Amino acid sequence: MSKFQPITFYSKEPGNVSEQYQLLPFRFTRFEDSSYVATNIAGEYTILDHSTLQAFVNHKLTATDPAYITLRAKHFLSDSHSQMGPDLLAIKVRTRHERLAHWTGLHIFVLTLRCEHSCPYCQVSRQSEDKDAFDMSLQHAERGIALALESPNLNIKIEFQGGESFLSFDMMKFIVETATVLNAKLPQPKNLSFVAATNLAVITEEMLDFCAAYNIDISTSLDGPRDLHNKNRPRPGKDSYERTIAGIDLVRKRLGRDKVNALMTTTLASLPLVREIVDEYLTQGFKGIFFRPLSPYGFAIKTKFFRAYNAEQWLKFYDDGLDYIIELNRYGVDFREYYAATILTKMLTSQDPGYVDLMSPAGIGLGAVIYNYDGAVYASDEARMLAEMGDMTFKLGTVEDSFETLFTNDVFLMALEESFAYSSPQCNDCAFEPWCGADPVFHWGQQQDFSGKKWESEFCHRNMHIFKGLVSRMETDPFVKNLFMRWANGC
Amino acid sequence: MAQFTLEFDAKGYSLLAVQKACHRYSDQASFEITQTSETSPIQIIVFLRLAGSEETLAQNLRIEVLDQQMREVVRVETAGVRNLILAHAFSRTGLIREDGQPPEILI
Repeated sequence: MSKFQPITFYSKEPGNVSEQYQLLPFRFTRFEDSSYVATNIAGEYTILDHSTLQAFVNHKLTATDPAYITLRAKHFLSDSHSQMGPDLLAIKVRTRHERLAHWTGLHIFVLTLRCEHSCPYCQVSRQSEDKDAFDMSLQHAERGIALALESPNLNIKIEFQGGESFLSFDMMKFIVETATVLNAKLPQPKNLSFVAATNLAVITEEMLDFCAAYNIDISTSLDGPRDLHNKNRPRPGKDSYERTIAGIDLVRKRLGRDKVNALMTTTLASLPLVREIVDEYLTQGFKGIFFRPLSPYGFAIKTKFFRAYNAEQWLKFYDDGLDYIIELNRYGVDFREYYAATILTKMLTSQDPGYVDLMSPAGIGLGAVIYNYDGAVYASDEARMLAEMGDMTFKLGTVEDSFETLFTNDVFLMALEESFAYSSPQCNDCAFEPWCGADPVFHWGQQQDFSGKKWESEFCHRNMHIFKGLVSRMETDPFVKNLFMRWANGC
Repeated sequence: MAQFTLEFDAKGYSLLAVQKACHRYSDQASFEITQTSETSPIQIIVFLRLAGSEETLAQNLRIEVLDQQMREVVRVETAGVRNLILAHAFSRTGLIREDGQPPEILI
């Protein structure tokens, strides 16, 4: 028997124009005036005009219509030519959600709340440098390590945060050394890695030697050019920028060029300076930037920094910055915007990059868990920021609790269930749901609602705008489509 | 409070589609939805938050109800295959039991 279909199978003659087809699960959302973005259950998308969408849903689309071929290729329909469609879709869905079965991989230790910076937008409600009461104890650190190693995930990343994490360097050393020893004793040792979030202002050669010995990555803050950075990030000596740049240089020389990444935070003063901020990142030899708005937590709320600009202003900043980065790439400069790249990975591949804010079920607890300096355990970094403001909703328990007790916390499970975008009102119908996430901490903080009223949600508004902007740029410019494909695949 | 009324034929539109369309525009108005029997028209009274936007909102609501009705057609028609795909996708994760019940322990 031939392994190949007869030639008539591939015919586009009128004989099989009225092909019977079955719809596969998909969603659609209005895109431009008369067109829609449609996504299948695995997040692949296509653009359809209204009449094509209507014909498709009503089984009136003919097999010779170009849209039919696309819809079949992207698993929006199955017919006699594509009986494998549902199986392939299932494999893609499985790949996209494979993180769920692995459980929590990122374990964040808040070593201290002390910090020598006094940034008015700080989301961590820092304490002054001399208050030892805000440091993690050995006992709490030991319990945190035990919990981290108890996670079923074979890839465990321990991240150190503050305050300024290197102000508690002895504790960092203790956790790294203890976790490494205990991990080696496990029947099946995990792939253990470390990252330290730091402003680099107090980093020393001794600290760098230790980071080199244990392969610790460095994540720092760089808000832009000198004046902007120093304005945003005041410290004694008014030299935050100089110390950060010197620190980046030291880390690269001692640990390697790719061992340091930087994050920026957008303040009101940043808004007119997006090109200068990108240029600063280029000057410092970074391969990309993550445009990050202010988060509504901690000092950013107390000092009213969070409300200094609105969503529309930030989105204009984002659009201008993204367009500038695209222009740089047209001139051969290899540089990317990491938030766009994260979304594009979800749009254009079957992978989920595991970015906590864009996960559904929500990434809280499942994607990351926080061991606070005082022994409290929170479902996310934002959850502990909310707790510093007096709202303990997302406190899972303490490090003295068992792993099972922490992760079967009733409020935590309720937040996951109620915010699950797949069944959340409006998200359930939204074509962008496979690319988006549930952010119950943000919505609880803003609206006292785990799911959030989407018509009032800044999270929804911001992400919808970015999703549409990415699709629009790809659909109108082949260069951008090619560029975005590379960003999506990490090339 | 400015208000207006819209009616949808129950032969062409489901109550759920109308409810979802109204929910979509909750930022602009509140709604009272009534249907006296399964075959009688679905009536919505629209209470506007801001007067003067009646015409635009009425037009948008009609379009949205049509979209929601199409979504319902897709959802109903693909329910079986969607469940099959999801069951297959999660079959080896331990998140779904063979009898279709959720696992006893969530971790």
